Amino acid sequence: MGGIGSLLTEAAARKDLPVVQVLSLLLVTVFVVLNAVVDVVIAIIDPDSVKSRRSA
Amino acid sequence: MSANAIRQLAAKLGGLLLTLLLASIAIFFAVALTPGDPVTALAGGVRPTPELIEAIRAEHHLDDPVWMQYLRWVGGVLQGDLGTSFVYKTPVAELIAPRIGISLLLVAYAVVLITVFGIGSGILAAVRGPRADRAVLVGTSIGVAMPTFVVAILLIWVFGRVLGWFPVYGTGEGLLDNLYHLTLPAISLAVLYIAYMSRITRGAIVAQQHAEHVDTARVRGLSPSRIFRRHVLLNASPQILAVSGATIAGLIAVSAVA
Amino acid sequence: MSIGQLARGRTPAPARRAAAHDPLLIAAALVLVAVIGIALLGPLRSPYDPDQLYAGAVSAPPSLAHPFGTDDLGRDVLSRVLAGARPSIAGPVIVVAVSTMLGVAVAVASAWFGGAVDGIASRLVDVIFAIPGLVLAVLAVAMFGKGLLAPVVALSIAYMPIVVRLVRAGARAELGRPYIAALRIQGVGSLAICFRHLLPALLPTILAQATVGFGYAMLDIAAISFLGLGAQPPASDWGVMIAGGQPALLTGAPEQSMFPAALIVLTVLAVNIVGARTTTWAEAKDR
Repeated sequence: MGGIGSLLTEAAARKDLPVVQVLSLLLVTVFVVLNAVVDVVIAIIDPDSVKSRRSA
Repeated sequence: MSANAIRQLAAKLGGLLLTLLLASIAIFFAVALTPGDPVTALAGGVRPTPELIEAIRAEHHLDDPVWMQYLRWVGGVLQGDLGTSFVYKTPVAELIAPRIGISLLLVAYAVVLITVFGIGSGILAAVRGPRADRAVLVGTSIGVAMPTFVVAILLIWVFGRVLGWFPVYGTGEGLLDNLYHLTLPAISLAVLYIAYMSRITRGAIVAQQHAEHVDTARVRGLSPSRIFRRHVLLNASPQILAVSGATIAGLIAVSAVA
Repeated sequence: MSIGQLARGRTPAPARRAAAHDPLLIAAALVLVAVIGIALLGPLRSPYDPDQLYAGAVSAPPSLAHPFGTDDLGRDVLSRVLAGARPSIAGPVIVVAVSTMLGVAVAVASAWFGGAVDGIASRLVDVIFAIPGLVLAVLAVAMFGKGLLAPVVALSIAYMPIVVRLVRAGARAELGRPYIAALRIQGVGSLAICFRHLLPALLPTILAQATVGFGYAMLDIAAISFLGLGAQPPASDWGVMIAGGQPALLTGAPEQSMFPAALIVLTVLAVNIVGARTTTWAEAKDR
């Protein structure tokens, strides 16, 4: 698709480790930060749901 | 914001940074411990002479302890130096830069589809009676069983080949043409998440419809549409939002691969 | 009768009776039995050699000789689909087995010991949780090379956190119940409590999660193979077959991709139906 996806799969197939490393870190960062932002937004609009979400 | 909220936020931020730190260590060390000598990859296919090996090891600081290499890598990444590709011999940042736009556009497109159709069909299933509920359930059951790439080849087959409505290759020129080219990939990416969103939305709404405050509102004689907007949807929204956020996060991860 | 037997004495008989009146569940179970049967017996019973090239019929539509048609190299698609069942099923089975065993061990240990063990375990789980399964799988392929081994190992680790979270919550609840305390007072050993009472009580939860996990694992592994990072051509893995059929798809011969794709969807659908019923059963038993 000419996006990050094809870059990552191609890099993995060709053992282009620096590219794989950086892209993995980038994706993990986005993933973790987004999840955290969602948690915080929810805590602000609905403090009661925080507990139930944590145990879910 | 109360002191308690600030403390919670700080704890959250600390946990976030710690997780990122540990994840970056895991990613770096996993690769550093990879079988095979990086020198071979760096020499780029040439059988390296001892002098070349020496030069490469010195240039890439391969004789430093691993934790030094890790600090150098993380420091570089934080300052925008993403390293150099083994294969292309160009800075990784230059490889990512021209591609990130199309990936973000694809994710944004898919998020719009997921929000509209996921929440829409979830509401439909919750309020339009058992028949709509059943139809959405069947649709979402198939949706969650379809790998992204199977949806993709089905769409390519139907809309690209048989009907010829959408392009199958390339990403196009200009925003509108980009969107046109990204339609099939965005739908493929969205289908699974539309199914998730739909189910969560339905569940959240149904749970609210039986809540006490909704009964109270009914007894007070409020109109059904007002009850639905002010009492059911508003109260179901945190849960829906929670899942859509997690969904988008997961989507980005998947889009990076599919 | 011991206290433990009393506590878990509720048989799933109502669930079993309900299952007999659930045509969807029966259909799903039949599909699964068929797929597992093919995985075990398929290679023996396939009409052609899956790797043999039949030069006369390239990308041929279904016919009596080749019920699913032939692929772009003239191989019999039916035989390849049958032969592909085993690698396509084995990967997810291993992922689920390993992640469940690791996850249950970590969960029970952290529920049992609490304190520092629990703290370290949940931090570990958080970190693994932060790395999406597919990303970890691609990372593993970059490290260890293409093939099914690296993604299967990576996904086994990536699927662990969700097992840990679910089972840990269940284990804590179970350990807080009076019969466990009674068993301890009776002098029953820790291991005996874990294996004879705690694990059987948690089994519905564990089984439900394992079934759900199988569906996800199958989708992920198929995606990895489709991308060319997992099983390698000329293997007849379903993901590989779908990818190999793409050029033929565009020239108007969809068989090569569609049959394995249909099998993936059908299998995952069946597993999800069984998984949903198992989850309902597990939740009903908790109450």
